[in-house]
Amino acid sequence: MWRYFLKRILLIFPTLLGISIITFIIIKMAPGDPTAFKMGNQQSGMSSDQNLAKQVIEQTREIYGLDKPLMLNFTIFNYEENWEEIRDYLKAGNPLSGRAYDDIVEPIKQADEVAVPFLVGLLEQGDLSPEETLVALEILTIKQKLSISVDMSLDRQLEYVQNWWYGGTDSTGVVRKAAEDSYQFSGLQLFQKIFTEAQYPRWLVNMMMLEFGNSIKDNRPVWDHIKESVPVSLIFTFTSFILAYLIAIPLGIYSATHQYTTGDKVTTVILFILYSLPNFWVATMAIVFLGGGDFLNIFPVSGLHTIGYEELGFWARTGDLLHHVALPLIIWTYGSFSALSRYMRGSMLEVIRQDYIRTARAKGLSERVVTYKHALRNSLIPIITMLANLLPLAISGSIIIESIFSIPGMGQLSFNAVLFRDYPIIMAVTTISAMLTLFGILLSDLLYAAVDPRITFEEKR
Amino acid sequence: MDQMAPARTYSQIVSSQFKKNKLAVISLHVIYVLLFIFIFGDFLANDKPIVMRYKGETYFPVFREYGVKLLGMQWQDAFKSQQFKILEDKYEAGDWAIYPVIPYSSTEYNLKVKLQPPSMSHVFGTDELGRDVLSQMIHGTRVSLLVGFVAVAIYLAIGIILGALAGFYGGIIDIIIQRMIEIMITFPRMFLIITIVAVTETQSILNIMIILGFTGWTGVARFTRGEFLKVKNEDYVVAAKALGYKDFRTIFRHVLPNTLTPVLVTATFGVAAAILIESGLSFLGFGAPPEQATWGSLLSSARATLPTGWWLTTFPGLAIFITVTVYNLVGEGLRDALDPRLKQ
Amino acid sequence: MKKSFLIQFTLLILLIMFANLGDRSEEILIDDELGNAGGIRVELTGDETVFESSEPGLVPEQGGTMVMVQSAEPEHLNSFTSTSAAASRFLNYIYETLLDYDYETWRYDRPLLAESFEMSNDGYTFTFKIRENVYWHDGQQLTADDVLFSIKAVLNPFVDCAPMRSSFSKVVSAGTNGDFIFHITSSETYFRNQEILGGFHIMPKHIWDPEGLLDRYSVEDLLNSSITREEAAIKEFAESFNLNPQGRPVGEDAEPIIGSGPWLFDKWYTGDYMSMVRNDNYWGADSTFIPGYTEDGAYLDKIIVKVISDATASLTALKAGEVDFVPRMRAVQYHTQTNSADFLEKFQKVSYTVPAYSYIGWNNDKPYFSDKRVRQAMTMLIDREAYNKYIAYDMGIPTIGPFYIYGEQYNHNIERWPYDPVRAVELIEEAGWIDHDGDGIRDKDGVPFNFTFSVSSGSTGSRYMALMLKEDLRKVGIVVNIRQLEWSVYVENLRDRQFDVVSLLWIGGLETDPYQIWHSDNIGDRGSNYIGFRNAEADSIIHHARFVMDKEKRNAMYFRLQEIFHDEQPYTFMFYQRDPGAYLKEFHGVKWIPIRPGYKLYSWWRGTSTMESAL
Repeated sequence: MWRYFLKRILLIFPTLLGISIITFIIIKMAPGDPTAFKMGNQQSGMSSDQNLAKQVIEQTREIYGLDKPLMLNFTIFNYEENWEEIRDYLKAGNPLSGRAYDDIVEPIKQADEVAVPFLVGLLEQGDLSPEETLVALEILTIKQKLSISVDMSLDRQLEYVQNWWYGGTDSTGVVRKAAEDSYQFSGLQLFQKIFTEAQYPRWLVNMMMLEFGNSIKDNRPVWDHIKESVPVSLIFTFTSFILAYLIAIPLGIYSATHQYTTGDKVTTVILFILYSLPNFWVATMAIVFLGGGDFLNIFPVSGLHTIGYEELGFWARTGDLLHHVALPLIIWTYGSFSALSRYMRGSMLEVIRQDYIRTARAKGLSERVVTYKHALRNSLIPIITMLANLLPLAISGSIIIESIFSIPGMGQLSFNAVLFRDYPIIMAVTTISAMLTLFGILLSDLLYAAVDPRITFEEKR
Repeated sequence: MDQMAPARTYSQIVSSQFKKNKLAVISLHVIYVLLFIFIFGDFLANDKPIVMRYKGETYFPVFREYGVKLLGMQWQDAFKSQQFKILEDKYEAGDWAIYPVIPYSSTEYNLKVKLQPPSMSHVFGTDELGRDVLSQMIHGTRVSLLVGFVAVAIYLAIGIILGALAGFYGGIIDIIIQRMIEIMITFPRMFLIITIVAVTETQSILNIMIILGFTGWTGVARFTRGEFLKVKNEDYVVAAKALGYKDFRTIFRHVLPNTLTPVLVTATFGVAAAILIESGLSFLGFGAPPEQATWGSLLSSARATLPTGWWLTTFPGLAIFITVTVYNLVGEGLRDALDPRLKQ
Repeated sequence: MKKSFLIQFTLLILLIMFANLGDRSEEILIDDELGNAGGIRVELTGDETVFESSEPGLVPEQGGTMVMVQSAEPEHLNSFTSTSAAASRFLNYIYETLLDYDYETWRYDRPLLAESFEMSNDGYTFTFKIRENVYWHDGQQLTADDVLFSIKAVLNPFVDCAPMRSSFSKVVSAGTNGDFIFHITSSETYFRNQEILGGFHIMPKHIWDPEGLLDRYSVEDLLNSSITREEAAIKEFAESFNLNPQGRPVGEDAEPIIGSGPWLFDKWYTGDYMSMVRNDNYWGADSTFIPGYTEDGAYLDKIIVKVISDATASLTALKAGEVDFVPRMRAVQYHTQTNSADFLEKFQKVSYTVPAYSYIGWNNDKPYFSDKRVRQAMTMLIDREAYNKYIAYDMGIPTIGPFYIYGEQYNHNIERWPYDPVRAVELIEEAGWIDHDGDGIRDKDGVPFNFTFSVSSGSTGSRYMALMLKEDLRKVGIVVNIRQLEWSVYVENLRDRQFDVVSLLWIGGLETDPYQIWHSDNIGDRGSNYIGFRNAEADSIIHHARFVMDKEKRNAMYFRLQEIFHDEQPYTFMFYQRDPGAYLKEFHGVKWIPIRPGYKLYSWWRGTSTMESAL
């Protein structure tokens, strides 16, 4: 058995790797990137030279490492071929802007520093067409942050590159160091760059040290965000989980022991009705009718605290919290009763029909004893194993309820991260929740084996 | 009710068991009605006449619409603009038209009657653009049911096949499929939906169905796998193997039918769940395209007008809740009827 | 089983038929419900630039707290690296700029932190004399060094403020002369220089750069990439600046933000609220040099900005007394949910205009919209008046061009295009869009008139617009597909020019420069002229007007520009939008101004007893 679990634990790692790779690819495949939000609505800007809007985006992308290739960076070996592609593209008379152009220039930009000597060499030879010169200069300008602007004549731009590369005196007479020396790379350095200059490996290395990086949106460590949001969501997920169990299990037992009676039917229908009510609808209704608008004023409708709650005493604080939590909590919970109680009912019915229960009845034990002592205990087994679901719940929230009630929990955090394309947060949330889910599954298997002696994992084939 | 009749088939037993459950039977009938609306929605609510006599000739505009949409036919010259109500002014003697019971299409707007409470002319009232709510709900039935059916069909297919393979073969196949299940469970579904919605050129409810289908199969797969593990060592499977039957045949002819019935129950619940998920997605703005009325989108756009526009939330809300409830009750009835141990 | 099914089916049919017996053509006009639903409408014309919506003439008193709602929370409070409006709205009370608007003439020339300033004769250099009596909230004196530090931080290429930096791209040098003289030089004599070079927040150097990392470099150094690339200190500063805890003072024990303004930062609880308290030691508090409506007011003890993302919840919170001021609500809420006698007695409703206009942008490079006649026709096919009346609840002010309707640049001599579908169809046919192949859809050169209207998923208004357009254009043989996209994809498609039609809002200022949006330089390469407007005359006007410092002459050029816009109809210009809001009637001194966000809380004060206002 221990061997079996060891194997299971070891299997978690490839699964996690798979999950992270797939997630990574999918979120990067999604169109849109965080720079869209970084730009804001810029009418008041003064973007007077052509390149600027583009430069702004490129700069922002670079600050967050979004300009690197996804998986492995092989562009550092292929830049000469890429240059040929660009050449063909330009020969065909294609424009120097637009998505197609960006796509074709991207690989050589990703090669970054490695391609610089090659590009400078090209410019020096001087046999480039005017368009090719422009492209080469643009790549150098953007990636190496040269102070070349479009206002400068082509000759001056070339001269600038010359000065920059070999050093020399600038207009103010100051001697500048040559850039040439800092662009020599050994084979080992190149090999390292395959991994270090790519997004996923960078992320993976950091993740192994449980370092999820900073949020793109506000530059704060992802951990801080999670630390802030998890307790908020836990209040809801955990309480609602317990509430659901406390209410649904007795209901399920009742339904099972009173199968086909009116009581059973009524609970069934009521639970299904609850399940069928879309929560955003109920939440809105509740806000309008119970939140103190034009109708009843029973519950506060937003956030978790009254303003100034910090100054209250412990009990008043708790009361305030409960007051705020009550309404969202009810809406959070009501839908989950039905599944749980149905499950309980089914498992109870199954047990009741087992031979040993019949035997117990035949022995003349009272119905109560049979039900609550023998049947209940055994039918609870599958329910108990579901407790393992608690683990991933720690990091999940509800997008809809949290956004309607302005609760800063995990649901809002991850939904906003998705909308904002805040990759570090998305990756962190998925990875952590994947880990917890996997451990949860494992734990539930363990629990199952622990409570049900019939199950062993030895004869696994 | 003990076994009296000598030759009752399995399905007869099931159906007689099912009929004992009044709630489930009523629910089944509600589903029939929904199916009727699903199929004949265009004849129940439309701004085009079903039959009309115009300048001495008889036309069937609703049927024609199918022709135009599906068969590449074209509208008659007189109807190019498809504005049949305006044509009424041009009627000659003897011209007439029979409209569907709700003579509004789901997209036809009339700002002058916006936000009207239920009245004789608009049974369920109108929305912020003055569109008829009932007509939108009738057309929304199609979307909501379709989402359920297609999504569930997809995930049943995937789930059963993968579950069967894993359960039957075990070993490395089982391990791989189990990892797939785990990956799928922990997958950020929200992001997948956004990605697909954004990547595809035309926004369509079909995308949502496919995503729900492709991400929802894990439960079915685990269940089928479990059933297969149980059945694998039973006599008839061992016998089939001993007889040298191909694996394929064993799986599909002998093992699968025995595991199928409980899966069907899951499917009914699945339809209900899919309808709810669609409404939630519509609320977040990732559901059907704007011109496509769905119950969820009606509900979410109505939030802004509360509490004045109560009819905007009440009726679609009722529609969702009735549909989801009846599917669940039918599923529940089926489960009870199919379970041999629950027979009394 | 069969029988019951039949009965149920018949019942359903009967129900529907019965319901339909009434008169179909019955149409109840609800015009009365529209109109001005009991609120004060603030329109700031040229004559009246500050509007007071509360009872004037009462004697202001200090004290009181105000809780206002904001729908979004800033990502952080670093003035330079933040791009959210929520952050700048909050920080505008804490940080100050060298110059500010004069609230009477609305020129950007009122000295604030600067005591005086002058422009060199050639127009390239601005010299600011910094006030000597300004102290930071922690007691340190504000000097020209802080100003220089602020501009250095913006120009540091590694600081995450690329959009802001682009405004300063023409700066060539800057420096100090003694403790209180700051000068800055631009390579252009651009007419908005004064607004840009005097309009950035001054941040305290001793907080953000305590080690003086940037002291070693001059502004010229920071503009020189061969230096910035080599010098580790520049990068080091940027990294710490981007992450500085001063930018996110979250929680109980956080270091407060140190500014120089009339309010002090108080607390920030993420997802809950941010607050600030009055600065009793404000440098400008007892000086008399700023007449009228300015920073010397500041009566409220405390302002709390509460985050409520859901519009329904925020109005409910107002009614329930949890908040005092909702600056923006939905138009439908303003018109249908805030009219009870109770509400009107307790709250003052107000709608005010800010310089932001909505438009429908036609991609001029698509075959359908390359002909200006088609664009004119599109404008005439959109019933803007009905849209305004029924969908926008009369909250729109129709505009003919991109300039602020109450500003001096707006050309009032141009008459709006009418709603005229008949003339529109004629124009479309003139342009050659006729149904050649008889499939009911117009076409030209084999291209069917079948375009996609992109709608951002959050915007109800443009969704309704698209739905109406789809239904209307279907009748004249044009197919509209609606595509709903979430914001980041929407913006990306916009930048890459992958769209046919968009519906959006431009947020501008009192005076704007059309260069970025309308010059053909900015087509492609993700420039803001994403609809591809090209017009040689317009280009030349836009280019030359930038360097015309004489306002009259410049505006005359812009008047001509608007005539071109009107004729070309690159956009269908829709409305300047009024923002509807409501506040508790206990507040007085409530003033509205024509710049974003439309109000400044300096003059607001809270009457502690309601009796007072009754008198």
